[in-house]
Amino acid sequence: MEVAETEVPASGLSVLNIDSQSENAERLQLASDRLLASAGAGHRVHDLPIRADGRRVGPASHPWRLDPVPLLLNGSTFDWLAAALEERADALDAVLADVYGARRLLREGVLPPTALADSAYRLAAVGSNPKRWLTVYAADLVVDRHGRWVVVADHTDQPSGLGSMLLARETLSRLLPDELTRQSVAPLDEVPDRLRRALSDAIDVESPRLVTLSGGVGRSDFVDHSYLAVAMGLTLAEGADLVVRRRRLWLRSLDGLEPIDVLYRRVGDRQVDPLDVDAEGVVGVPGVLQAVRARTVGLANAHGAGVIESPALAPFLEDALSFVEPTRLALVSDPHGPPPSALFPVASTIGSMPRGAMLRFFVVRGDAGSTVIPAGLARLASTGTTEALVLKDVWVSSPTAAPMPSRRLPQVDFARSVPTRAAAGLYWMNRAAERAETLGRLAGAIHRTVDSDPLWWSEAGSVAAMSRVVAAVSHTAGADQPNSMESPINALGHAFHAQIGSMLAEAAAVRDYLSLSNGRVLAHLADARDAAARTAGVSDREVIDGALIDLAAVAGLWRESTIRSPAWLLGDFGRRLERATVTFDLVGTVVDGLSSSGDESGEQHQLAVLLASLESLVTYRRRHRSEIDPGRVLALVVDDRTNPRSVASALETMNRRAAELEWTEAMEFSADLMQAARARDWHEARALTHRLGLAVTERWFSAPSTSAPLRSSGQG
Amino acid sequence: MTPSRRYRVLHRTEFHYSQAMTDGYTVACLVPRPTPRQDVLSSSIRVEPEASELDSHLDAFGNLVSVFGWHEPHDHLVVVSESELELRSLAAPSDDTPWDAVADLSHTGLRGEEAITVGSFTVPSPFVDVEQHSAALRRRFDQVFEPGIGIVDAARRLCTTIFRDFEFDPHFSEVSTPLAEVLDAGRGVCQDFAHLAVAALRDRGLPARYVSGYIETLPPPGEPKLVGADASHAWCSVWTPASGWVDFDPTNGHLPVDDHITVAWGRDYGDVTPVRGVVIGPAARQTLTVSVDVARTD
Repeated sequence: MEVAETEVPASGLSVLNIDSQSENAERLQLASDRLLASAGAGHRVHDLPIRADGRRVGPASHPWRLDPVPLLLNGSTFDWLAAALEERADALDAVLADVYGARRLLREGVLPPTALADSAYRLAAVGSNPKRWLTVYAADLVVDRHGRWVVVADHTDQPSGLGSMLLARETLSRLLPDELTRQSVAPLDEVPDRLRRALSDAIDVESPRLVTLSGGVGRSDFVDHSYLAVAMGLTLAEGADLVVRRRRLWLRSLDGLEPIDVLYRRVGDRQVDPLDVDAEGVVGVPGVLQAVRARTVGLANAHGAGVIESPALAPFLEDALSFVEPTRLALVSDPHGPPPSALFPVASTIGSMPRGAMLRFFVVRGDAGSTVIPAGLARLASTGTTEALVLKDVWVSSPTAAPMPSRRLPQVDFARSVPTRAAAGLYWMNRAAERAETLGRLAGAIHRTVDSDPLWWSEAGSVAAMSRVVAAVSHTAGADQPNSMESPINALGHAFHAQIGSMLAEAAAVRDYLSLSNGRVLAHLADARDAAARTAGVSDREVIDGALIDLAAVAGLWRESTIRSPAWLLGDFGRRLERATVTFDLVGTVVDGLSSSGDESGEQHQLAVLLASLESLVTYRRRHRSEIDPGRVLALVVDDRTNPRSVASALETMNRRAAELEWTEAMEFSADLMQAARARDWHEARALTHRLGLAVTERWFSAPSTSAPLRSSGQG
Repeated sequence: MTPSRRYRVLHRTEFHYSQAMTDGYTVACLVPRPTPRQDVLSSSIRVEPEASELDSHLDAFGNLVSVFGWHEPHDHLVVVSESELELRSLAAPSDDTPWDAVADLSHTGLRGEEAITVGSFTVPSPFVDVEQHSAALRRRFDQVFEPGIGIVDAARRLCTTIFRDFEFDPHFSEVSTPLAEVLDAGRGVCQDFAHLAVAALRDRGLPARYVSGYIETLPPPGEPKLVGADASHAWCSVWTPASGWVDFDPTNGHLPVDDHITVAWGRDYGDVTPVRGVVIGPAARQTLTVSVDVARTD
């Protein structure tokens, strides 16, 4: 298939000419899929189970596919479009200022009362008079059969797609780097900065503190705003992380309450404040509109901006625009949208009909003026319901519009201000990772020793013994009367699969606190996990071994590539606590379960499995070139400080972290734990780890998680 | 015409939570507003426990709204409003502009301030979904809206029709019983009848307000006890070109309303909810008790 240039008269749009055969197109699409997954790694939410604290992650976000062949938009057409879109954004802003202010549109009969009759018109916004109504504006355009550009939708409530656009560009810049240069495509490097600056302009404060209000990982546009938040360096917070007190907005962080000056909201008008009349849901922040009214916080976009998208207003919108901006706007709009006429080939559907495209452009507005981002995101008309959404990057070649003058961005240090919920996520993620590692190593160890002595491992006694160990470590009820080693191995595989799922669920919600490399490893883990589930191979050796390598990478990146903060200290504390806990689980079951029946080879096997699970088998063999002795095993895995995997090492590190956190209670716990361990009192040791876990939650994470509406009594 | 009368109103709302909450926000629409029929001599709201903060503002309809915040652990919340008012009677409303003419005027003829203060009450609102119920409303109230009859007469007919044909049943509805259920079952509480009347009026293009307030508990001798006493009460207002907003009470079949104490008005119950809010804390059960006492003091 030749991807030729197809041009619609006067539209300025064409397709990049990639000289390719059909296999090449297919190869390009697959490469695009891979690179997109890698670039957006960690932001995608997979099908995940219940989180460690009992909450359920939402349904899998539906990934979109990036068509590897971008659309080209010539510079002069873009310049014209940009001017028209800026004008439209200004006019829309003026319409908003009027319907929530002087309301001349109503007084003079341009808008009948029905135009503002639905829930999109927020009464609480009347008289609010924000600095500006629209900080981010997006418009969807198509080219009609006359070659004219037509606006088919305005997005003013919480326009989405900027993050996806940057993600698409990052992917294509790796797929087709030479083409970008050849076509003199306008770069997007400055976009996150410009958006950040515009957001800062939502309030008149020196060095404002900015936060993104997210609807949570379950939302379909989570990838978009999570990626954007990371690109801008903005803290991603959920409603529960924020609280309004004394008419100010605060972020609940480990360090206490931190004041917030600008809220970049990625939830709709009706969801911003549960205290608002006719509000919807509990993802917002109760009382935030009070803080807005007191002008201590700026919202971007302003509350009420979504009314432009209202179906009730649609029939009257053009009249309203003409009223506030009498000189006719260059761009025509038609909400019922002509079908897009320009047809573009799609690499992923070779041989099928080319499709029309709808293009989304973005305008960012701040004190220094408006910028229309020199790029777009094209959405191809769908051919059916089962195919994933296909997007094309839009390359703008050499626009002449002058870039916004650079201004130094004030620096705000957010190193310490991690929302409590995020810190909890990092803590549980680390605990889950640690336990998963042990489960994985246990599975590997059982597989290897079964291979070496299948006869012994087929005996009922050994199966029962292993089942007990698996049950103890995976906290599941052991299978009754397992008749072969298949059973505990299967149980282990499933437990491992579940534990990785928990870890990924926690990680997904705190993506912006992990490094980019971390994201890639997590994405790989998630994909492998999905594949294993699909092929019913969760207990396969290769699957588990592969996952263990990823887990080692995660642990390494945690140590080497994560900024040290109270959240890191707590996360690391959690990892060591889990290490001690799981060691007690294993040791208690194996060592105490060793029979005195004189079954020496059986004893050796079980001790070897124990050591291997705790990553200490090689060390043991190197040190004691003889058979494995229970007493020496305990000395190595419990007491030996030079063994980084021992309980003693874990407790020592826990102590250091607790000291850095100035948390004396935990230091006392560590001392008690060491004592119990030395006394080989596993029961007491486990009880202590359980209590310490509760203490962590109480001391650091006891911020309440739910907000609920007060009951109403109605009127009789 | 009866002389002016003085009243004292006490409205107490109490919440108990099975677990301590760490933060609570309450929005109260409890302070009566001055109207041609009433002077507010005094009004105050007190809360228990002591609030961490208090804020007041006028909403889009001019009602006084108070917002309280609690940021200390608490397992109960009490909001008490106490007001003293003086009510006087006004001349009976009389406007024989045909109701259809009022509808036409409201639809396209309002300009200036009235486009906002009157026009915004002709359209559906969250608790009053006119479009969905239009057919049922037409069936029920066809006789009321005889072409050409005066607007006040139409309101009176609507009021007496609901009073006659619908049964007051305090056990029937919940806080937000859908209109369809009220129409089907022919029963409800005053909130339902007020929404019903407002819906019937707006369905015909007429501007209608939902009014929240109280009525006196002691009936005049020989007359039945008024329904709605000892609870927050709700009735309606229809707009007339000559007489302005005319109140009527479909629950008690009253037009005019003489003994009604107005607190606030809006599009529907959602705009004037006496006490609403949000609590933040562990999952917990809430118990709610409300008591209202209206007493004549002269």
